[in-house]
Amino acid sequence: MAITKISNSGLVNSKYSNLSADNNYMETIASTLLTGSASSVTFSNIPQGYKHLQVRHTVKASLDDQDVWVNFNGDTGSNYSEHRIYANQAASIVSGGATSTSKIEYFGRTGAGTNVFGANVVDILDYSNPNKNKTIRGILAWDNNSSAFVMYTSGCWYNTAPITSMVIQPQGGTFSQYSRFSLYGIKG
Amino acid sequence: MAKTATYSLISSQTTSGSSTTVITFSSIPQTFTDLVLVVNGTAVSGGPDLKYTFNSDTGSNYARIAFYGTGSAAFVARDINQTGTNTGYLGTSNTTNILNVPDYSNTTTYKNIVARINAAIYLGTWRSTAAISSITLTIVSSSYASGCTFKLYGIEAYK
Repeated sequence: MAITKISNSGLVNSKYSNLSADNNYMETIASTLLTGSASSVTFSNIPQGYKHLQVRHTVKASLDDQDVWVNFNGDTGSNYSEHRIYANQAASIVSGGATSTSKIEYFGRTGAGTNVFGANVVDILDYSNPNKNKTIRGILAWDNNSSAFVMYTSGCWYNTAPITSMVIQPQGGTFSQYSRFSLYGIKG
Repeated sequence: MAKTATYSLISSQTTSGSSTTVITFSSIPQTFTDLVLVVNGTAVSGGPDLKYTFNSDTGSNYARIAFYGTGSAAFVARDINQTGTNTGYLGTSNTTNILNVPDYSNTTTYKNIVARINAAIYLGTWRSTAAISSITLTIVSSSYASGCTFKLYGIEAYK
């Protein structure tokens, strides 16, 4: 029987408190490595057989340090919100948020400078559950040895529909060659 | 095309005794898209940083930004032009470090470590476009306690 649950209840200094105790608990769904510029990236016909989704993307755009936005199921209405806390190289710590937006505005961050791509790992939790609004959480970051940016982000799509598609686009400019967007299913 | 189960264990190490200060993963296969390194354990003393170097590069080619909270305040730590990136730490009580190394095998981008350690997030950067073939973790001014585990996983994107 495969291990499906890890619990450290009753254990002292448990060493089994991380998700990675399971081997091969993710499945590839789709991936694209840009061979040229692109105004957006779309994942469609997302299968519904997983517990959660994870999007791992390393991105650069024609403009530096851009937010990366996402819309689900073609919804561009004012049905999203997001919150974030982030820091930069000057040790400025900023928190913020927005409600009733037309997209989740912090699904990623593009890099700044030659060969500097933003590194983003975003989870979409319970994406196929028809009884819950959809939540994302992510870590977004880039560093070019002069400037740097690191962010915790969360967002919500106020819709209980299972997510079947997503459109990812930069706040400004176009995604650059060699940007990669990979979608994974997490088995539960 | 068939889906592929991924997040595959590449290599695992466990410390014995309390004198180990360096852990190395070498000959990393280039067949995955991302790497994930999970470090779980304690330091013999203090709350030392874990310093990462890639491909035996000890030049001043690394940077780090760390963002963490203590329960009463938030802090940022910043280093540039370092000989390794301090993108992790271990305490004297159990600490879990989960480090993502995306696109480790490409030869067009600088390399990042995106890490989550308890209540902190770190970004480490290696300013090299070389594919990562080895990772060295050096514990700073301490040693790894017995029983620390280091597990390197590969994540393969859809092809």
